[in-house]
Amino acid sequence: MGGAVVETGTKTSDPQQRPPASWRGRGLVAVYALAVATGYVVGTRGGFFGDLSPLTPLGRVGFALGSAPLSRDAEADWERLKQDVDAVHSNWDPKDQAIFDLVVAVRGLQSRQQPNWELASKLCSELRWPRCDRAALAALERSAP
Amino acid sequence: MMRSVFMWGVGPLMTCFLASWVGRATAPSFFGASTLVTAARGAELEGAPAALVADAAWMLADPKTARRVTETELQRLYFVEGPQKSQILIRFALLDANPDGQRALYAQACVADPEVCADWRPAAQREHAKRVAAQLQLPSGHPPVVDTP
Repeated sequence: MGGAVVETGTKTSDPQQRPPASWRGRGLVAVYALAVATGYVVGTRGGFFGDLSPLTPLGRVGFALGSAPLSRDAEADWERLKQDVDAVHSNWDPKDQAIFDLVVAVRGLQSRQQPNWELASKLCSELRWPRCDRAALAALERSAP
Repeated sequence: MMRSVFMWGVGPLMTCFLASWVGRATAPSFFGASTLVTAARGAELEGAPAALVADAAWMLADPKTARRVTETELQRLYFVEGPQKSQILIRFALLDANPDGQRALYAQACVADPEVCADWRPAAQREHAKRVAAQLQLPSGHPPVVDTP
């Protein structure tokens, strides 16, 4: 019975040659699940047409430098920004890493937009720049990106 | 046949596009802003840290460091537009000892920012005034510079 060949007119359907309906159903569910997963992942990266792309760590640091007050309660975002600053620092030209650190300190990117004057002054002194006083550093804090 | 094509082909494709739209709408945010940006906005944001580093060196550093960082900025010239491009060119012109070189740089600054075309002196004075560190030793032919605070 189970493995018998059933003949209907000129057509022959062999259950061993065609997958059972339940397999096709599972296959269909798998194809749709894959479509949903692929579409969603592609969507979070900007979609199929490439008009949008996700911000890189450098872009996120640029966003934080150029933005008006950032929410102080966004714990996850501050943590992410800290990691981004570290990543950008390690990729920066070693000759200018200290200048980047100075900008980060003056803009308070690792201290919730509160300038870290002490660190900024120390970094500036290490650079042996002619002006490292608070007024000069405050002028840098005000400069637009 | 048509039913199979729809079920196995068109249906999954439409589902994929729909899921993509949902994914795009629910993309993670960063301080409340979408992390998906256009190429132009992405380039602008990625240029901001370098612009601020150059600003820091221009404002506070000794002339030698200011020159080195401004020269590095020239490498970004193709990625910036308008006043920002003009600013880099004017700073470099201020550091250029050759009057012909200065004129060429001011001409390029004019192309980048038409405001500079009528008279480049105010823009040059503005950039010079931003230096709160020691003033640059300007080559002859430069405009008289304003006192820095």
